[in-house]
Amino acid sequence: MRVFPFEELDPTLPLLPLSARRALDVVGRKLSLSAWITLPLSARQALATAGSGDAVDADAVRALLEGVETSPAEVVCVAQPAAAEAWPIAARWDGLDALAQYALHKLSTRRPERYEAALNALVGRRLARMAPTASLDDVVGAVRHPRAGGIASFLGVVRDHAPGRHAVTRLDYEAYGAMADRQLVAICDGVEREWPGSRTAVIHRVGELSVGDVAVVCAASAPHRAQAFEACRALIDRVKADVPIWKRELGPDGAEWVGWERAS
Amino acid sequence: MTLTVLYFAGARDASGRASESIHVEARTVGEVLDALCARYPVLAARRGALRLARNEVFAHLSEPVGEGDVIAVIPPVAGG
Repeated sequence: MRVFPFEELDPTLPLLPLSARRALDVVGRKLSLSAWITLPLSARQALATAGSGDAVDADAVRALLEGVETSPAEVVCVAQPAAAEAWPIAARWDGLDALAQYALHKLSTRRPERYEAALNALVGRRLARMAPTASLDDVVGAVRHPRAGGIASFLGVVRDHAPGRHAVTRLDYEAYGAMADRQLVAICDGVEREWPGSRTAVIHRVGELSVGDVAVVCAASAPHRAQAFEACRALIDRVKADVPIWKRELGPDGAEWVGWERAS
Repeated sequence: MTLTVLYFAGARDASGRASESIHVEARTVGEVLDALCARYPVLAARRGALRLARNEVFAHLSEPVGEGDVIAVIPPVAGG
């Protein structure tokens, strides 16, 4: 039986948990609160359990409702809620289990005061931006969640030389800030759609960085490690290819924008 | 039409400015790039390596432009 912490429901189930509501919705029945609390606890738990899995066994739910007074209800068609700033609902929707999808659908339409807590618990916030500083803990924290069995992270670090050429003492990073933030979000959305069940986060730094400084922090979580590694690899590769960020190398030989002098 | 053009990194050093307002007769992003390359030979020399963004999104050269658009000249990116 699954009851979400954001339901703030006592273990004696004085109200219908979302899982029990889902079980009833699947068979198109409604149960009044007075009918619910007259059911023995074991029956209430059984209804909640029936609504907790990936699929609901309608016959089993009908059997549980035998002899219980119910009224007809429309069969609910779970739909993805509208986009909400800060929570990447669309990118992560396919990675959510059926009860989580049901809960978000139901709360977005029926219980707006509880919806934000459900979004935080089930979807998580998007962390993808340019910033003066970057913390590995923050980035990993943004992808950590109970269904993620693996988290892969990547740090891009300022090195002391450009490939086969010259010494580097400092890098100045510049970005087209507003577009870079949008691109980082779009890249994370794309990776999460391609690896359903993954979550990604990235912070790329701007400003003057010295040898050894971390320039970019990426992380990807997934149910299993293979997808976590793949998603993290795709994330950093796309960040390097498609985000308007530039770096000027400074060393004993002078300064130059990486990739500019030999561009044609 | 009037467009705002943003120059970053090497393109800013090459053009000598971070942004400017330009008047051009252009139907597409590609025609804007033609105008910018005519104005700044150092951009023309690197034309194949430049990408343009229109209103903060990478744009294909065939994409139409409109009055007031913000066009950014994106030199080869180097994040990471």
